[in-house]
Order: sequence, then C-alpha cells, then structure tokens
Amino acid sequence: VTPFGLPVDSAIIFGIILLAFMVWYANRTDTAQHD
Amino acid sequence: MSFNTILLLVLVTYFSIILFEGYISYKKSHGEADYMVGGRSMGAWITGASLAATQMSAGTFVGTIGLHYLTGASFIWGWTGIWLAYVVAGIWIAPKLRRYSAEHGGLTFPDYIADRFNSNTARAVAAVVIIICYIVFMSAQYQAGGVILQTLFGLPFVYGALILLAITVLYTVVGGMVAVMRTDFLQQIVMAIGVVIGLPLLIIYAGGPSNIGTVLADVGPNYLGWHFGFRELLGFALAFGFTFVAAPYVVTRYYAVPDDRTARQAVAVAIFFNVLTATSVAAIALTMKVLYPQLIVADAASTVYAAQVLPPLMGALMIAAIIAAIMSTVDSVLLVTGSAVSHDIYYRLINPNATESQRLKVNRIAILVTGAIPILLTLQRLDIVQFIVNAYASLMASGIAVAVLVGLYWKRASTAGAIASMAIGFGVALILYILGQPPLPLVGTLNPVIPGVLASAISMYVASVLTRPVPDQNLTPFFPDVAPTAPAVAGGSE
Repeated sequence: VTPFGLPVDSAIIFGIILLAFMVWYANRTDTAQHD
Repeated sequence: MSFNTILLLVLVTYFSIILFEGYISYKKSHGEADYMVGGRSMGAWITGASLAATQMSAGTFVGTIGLHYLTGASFIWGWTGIWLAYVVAGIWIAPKLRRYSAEHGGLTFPDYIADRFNSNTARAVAAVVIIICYIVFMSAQYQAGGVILQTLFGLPFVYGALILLAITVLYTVVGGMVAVMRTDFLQQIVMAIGVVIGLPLLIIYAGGPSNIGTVLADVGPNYLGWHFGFRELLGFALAFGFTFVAAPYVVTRYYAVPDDRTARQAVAVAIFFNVLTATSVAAIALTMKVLYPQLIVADAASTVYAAQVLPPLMGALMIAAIIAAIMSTVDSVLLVTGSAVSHDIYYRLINPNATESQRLKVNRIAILVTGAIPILLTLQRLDIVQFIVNAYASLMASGIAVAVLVGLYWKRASTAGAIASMAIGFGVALILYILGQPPLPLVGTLNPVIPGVLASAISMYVASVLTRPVPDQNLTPFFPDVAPTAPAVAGGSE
C-alpha cells in the first residue's frame, strides 16, 4: 500500500510534470522580441 | 496559554501586518493604473502567489477537506482541471491579454470584452455577470469566516463576518491592486505554512504512513481508490478549469505583469502552491479519518484538526491559513467588482468625462458598497458554503469563458456572438441551478457548467456567422497579422 493510495500519488506526479513543463516553458520564452 | 489566547494573538498580529501592508501599498500607488493593475510591474512570485491565493478560498480549507474526509482520496483529481487551466492560460491567454493591456490601456475584464467586440452593450453584459456572480461568491466567503470565528470564539456569527469584511474592505479600498497582490503573497505564505507545518505531527499521531494506509483500506472498498469515477472527476476538473482559465481576477493579474516571461513564471508559481496545498489538504483529511472516523459534520474536520489535534501555535497558524484563504479571495474579487461598477458602468457608460481622481473616488466607494451588499445575503444563510461556491463557479464559467477563449483566437467572433454567448451561457447555467436538472440518457446528470459552456459556444458560433465581423481595428490588439485600417472608434481604449 502506498502512503495515500493511487489517486493522490498519481495526481501529485501529474501536477509535478505540469509544473516542470511550465518552468521549462517560462524560461525558454524570449520576451525581448515582443516588448 | 490556552488555544484561544494564542489564536487571538496570531490573528491580531496577522491582521496588523496585512493592514500595514495595505497602508504601504497606498503610499506606493499613484493613479488609476497603479490602483487597478498594479502599475503593470508586478513580479512572478507575487503574481503567482496571488493567483493561487485568490483561487483557494474557504472552499479549499473547509469544503475540500470535508469532501476528502467523506469520500477518500480520488477527489484530488478534480484539482487537475485547475492546473491544466493555468498551463493553458500561461501559454495561450496571458501573453495576448498582457500585450493588449500594455499597448492599448485595458484595465478591467469588461475592457477586453468591449475592445475586442467593439460594443459597450457587451461591456455592460460582462460587468453585470461579474457583479452578480461575485456578490453571491463573497457572501459564501463571509459566511465561512463567520462560522469559523463563531465555532472558535463563540462570537455571534454576524460579528465574525463583519470583522473580516471590515479588514478586507479597508486595505483593498486604500491600497488597490498593489495592496491586494502584496497581501495575497503574504496570505499565500501563511496558507502554505499553515497546511504543511502540522502534517508530519498528524501523521505520527495516526501511527505513521503504513498504519494510515491499513486503516483507510478498511474504511471502504473505494476510499483509497476511485470513489468518484472518471466521468465525475472529469466533470469537476472541467468545471474548475473553465472557471479559472478566464476568471476576471485572473485576467487582471495578467494585465499587472511587465512581460510574457513573468506571466509564465507566475503560472508556474501558482501551480507550485496549488499542488502543495492540494496534496496537504488531501493528506490532512485522510489522516483525520484515521484519528476521528466518526465526525458528524465532515466540514468540521479542518477546525477539529486545528483546535484539537495540533499544538496550540500550529493550530492557530492553520486557522490563520483558513482566514488568509478567505481574505485573499475576497480582496481580489472586491477589486474586480468595484472596477466593474466604477470603470465600466460609471466611467465608460454613464460619465465618460470623469477625471482620473473622480474615477478613483467612485472606485473606492464602489468597493465599499459591493463589499457590504453580500453581508445582506450572508445573513440569509443561502446554503452550505461549498454549494454556493460551486454555483458561482459554474455561472461565471458559463457566462464568460467562451467570450475570452474564442475571442482571442477566432477573428470571426462578432459583437452579437459575444453578447449571445455571455447571456445564453449564463442563462442556461442559472436555469439549470434554479429548476434542477433531469438526468440525461448516456451521460447522466452533468455539472451545469458543461451544458452552460456548450450553450455559450453554440450561441457564439451561430450568432457570429449570422452577423458582420467586428472592424479590423478592434482585432489588431489581439491578432498581430491584422493591420489597423481606420482610427479606433467606440469601445476603444484611451
């Protein structure tokens, strides 16, 4: 048995993947060309 | 010292810091752009924390903990709609709206509607939808605050609600957006500390993770598994997602950042605080189930946790977190509602010759009045908090999500399309709430946001293809490939 069962574990992993993607995406954006 | 004494000290300290922050922000703000969009110079951490703090309300710390306590682990997947909505907003919505605000002077959500759809009627419809939804929503927040202070201090319900109202209105009125975002940041920190700090202790009290797992597995077959099925969770996620992808207070946060990169970093910060809170809240609720399997009122789980399980100081911080969640939501909502009254209805529709200082004065009065009206609804005790919050979210999303998403990406979306999509989407969701909804074949009973958004999208499409598109100069701010052909006209910004 994982600490809090499948739904919580999988949702946290999903959230961390989204967060990592957003950090990566935010940092690759070059704002100089827009501003 | 007793728990109540410590709690009182923590709350008084917290209120003093927040009010001081409001005063500092007042000193820093000069003019309407500072007051309404923070001078367009807010940083990623402040903006992201502010987004998350505003999104998480009394519902999160009282309602969501209650729901997890009752149904188990699976509700956490409802949050994923919010996280996805932040990503969608950070990539496809925030940059366009930020550039529009910076280059064309948009200050409020209805400003976007009026400028994109070339219509002050559309502006009025958007403003009215905002004012109605947010007044209902604020009444739920005051109610939650009143109930908490009543439970803890035995204070009459209405006094508790009035104290929260007075403090929040005070710093919002004097400091505007700068005060709202800076206090949101502090409040988000209080919320994060409050939910995280007691968790290790709670888990130890309950006999450690493996014992918790064993006990919870015996609660019921689906308590640790999928109590809510895929369809129900998708319904929650869509309802939350549509609400937050284009919520007016979210849109004005994008107006307040200096560049696209800051907007996207802010989204990452918001997801961070959201995932942290979602996880902690679920863990608190499930562990409380082990310690107190038989609570009669599930919504009381968070208050029992703070007042009876945790040591006094940690418990007081948890209560401060709940109060912070309420105030950080109400301040943002107040600012958006006050601006809809003063900027969109008074200045744009009634008295276009008002000077900036007159507008600011009206704005402050509007915040006072729209902050005070919900207390009348609160006294009626409409329903349980979570139900009011859900209803508001569905109504708001059904009214405006389509106008934002489609308006930014479909050039053909016309004035009539926007008005029809807002009025019909809002109307459909409202009717489904008032009359109740019959179960449908194949899909069963849906969250009203789904038929509401569908009706809104269909109305947008049909009304747009049947009417003339808006002039090119209204499209230019949102579609870089459309060159302006004539000077800007009605509905245009300053």
